[in-house]
Amino acid sequence: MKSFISPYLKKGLLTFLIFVILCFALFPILYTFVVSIKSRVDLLTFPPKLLFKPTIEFWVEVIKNSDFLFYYKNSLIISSISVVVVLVVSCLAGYSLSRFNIKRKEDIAFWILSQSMTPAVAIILPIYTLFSRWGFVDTYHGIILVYSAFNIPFAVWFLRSFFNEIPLELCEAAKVDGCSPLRAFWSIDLPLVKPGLIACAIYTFVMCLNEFFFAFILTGTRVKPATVAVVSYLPTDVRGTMYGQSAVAGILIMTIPMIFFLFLQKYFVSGLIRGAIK
Amino acid sequence: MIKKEKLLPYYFLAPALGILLVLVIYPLIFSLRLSFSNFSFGMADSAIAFVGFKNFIRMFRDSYFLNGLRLTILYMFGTSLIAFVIGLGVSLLLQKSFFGKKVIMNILILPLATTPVVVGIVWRLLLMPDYSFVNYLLSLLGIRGPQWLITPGWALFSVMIAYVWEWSPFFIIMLSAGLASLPQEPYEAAKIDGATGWQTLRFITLPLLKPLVFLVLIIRMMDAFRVFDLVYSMTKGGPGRSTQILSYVVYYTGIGYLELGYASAMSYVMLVILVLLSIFLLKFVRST
Repeated sequence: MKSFISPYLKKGLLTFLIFVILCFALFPILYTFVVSIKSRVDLLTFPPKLLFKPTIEFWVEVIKNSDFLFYYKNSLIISSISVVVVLVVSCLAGYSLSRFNIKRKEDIAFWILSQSMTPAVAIILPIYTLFSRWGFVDTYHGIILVYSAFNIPFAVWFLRSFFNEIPLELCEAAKVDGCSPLRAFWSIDLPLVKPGLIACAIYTFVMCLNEFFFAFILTGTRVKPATVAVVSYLPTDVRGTMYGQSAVAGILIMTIPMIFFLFLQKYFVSGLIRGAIK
Repeated sequence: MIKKEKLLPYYFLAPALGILLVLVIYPLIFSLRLSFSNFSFGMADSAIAFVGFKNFIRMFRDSYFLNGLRLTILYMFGTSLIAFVIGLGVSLLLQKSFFGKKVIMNILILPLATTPVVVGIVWRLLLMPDYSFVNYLLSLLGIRGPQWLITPGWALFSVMIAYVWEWSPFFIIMLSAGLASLPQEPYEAAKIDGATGWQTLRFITLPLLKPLVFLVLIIRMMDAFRVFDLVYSMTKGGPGRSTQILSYVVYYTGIGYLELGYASAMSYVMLVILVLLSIFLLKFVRST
């Protein structure tokens, strides 16, 4: 069957479609930026003013006159330490499950991975009860422990797959030369999985920065991260949403994940695809 | 010395297993015990009693829980199917290589890089009552947009739009990778037989992609089933109970009403549904 649409029209139509899709993907992010530089008055007019005088009043308010940056610093501290814990612990476990002779290691590896499917909601209540008993609520070590626990399953699985790709001969050769297993791990295998470690670190870091639910329940004013702090701009019983402030805070929060995503996309997407096929 | 070497693999494994046992397995057992009790926060230890299946029976007469279950199922199927259709459409459009394709792909997957809480805030801005920019665009087309976030029927739909916006790129990435790996021969044969574009899609592309499509759909459904952050930052469960999905109901019953026993029972029902979904997923992955 021959198409009745001329090829030029078809090409034009396709270009238009792609343009619409691009707008759908990009516009909400751009619009958030626009809201952040509008004045209070311009924000609440309908139809919206397309040409307006930009102002930085909301930026000044969030950065200078609120504690938001303090909470942002909390986010960075919690995420960085969690990444270190996750990498060390998962690297050891992943190596063990890849290289050593352990009974039923496939089952153990699979059991560890399956833990990542536990919904946060199913364990938040007991964790909250235990943490309040131990005095772990609203502390760095408490929230870091939880973030680590939730990122370890995937990291173990991910790093194990990297260790699996190293040819066994390398290790055998080292053994013949009298190299201890610990030494072989540290100076032969570990350097070879560097790309995996970097990818895993970035992925875990972004996951921790983005986390909301655990922090929302397990942290208070002392160690709460930015994702929880931004919620204070949402409406309460006595006032409406603080639109401008929430836009500024939102942009600040998504900056780091976006930068990672754009510049280290290769690592990030590989993490994502592996994460999906887990 | 020999003994030490034998234990090394277990030393390596111990920290990971230890953390998981303390922070995942122990809480799960603790919560299972709670779900058969009448425990609520601040209750004297002597008043805690074993109540059998009472919590589970209560759930299926509780309109709050049933409403949450209904909304969650609607949300789970709705978002996954819409995102799949968008993802398939876009990855078919972008199948051929052309100038600037890489840049377009990079822009298209930006929503994935956005923090979920921020996705809620971004869409709250776009759909704000009275001054919504989306409604302004609709008014240009002569359509009067609804009051998205404060009308019960539209609020859940608004959250679904935001979720679809965030996760369609996931389908685009996965399905593009899938399309690129398909064999060429069936397409050449179809061309010779004079199949139309639609027929090729329906009888060749979709059957070949089926395993991948199922895999991606189930992964997304499992994630949509336990969503919390996006809903909280967009509507806080409102207006009324119109966006209180299951995880919200559990959170509110446990942390809000402090009925930890009942809330734990609810969370176990969620867990069982997720386990069933993942068993289904595993069976499927192993069979293909």
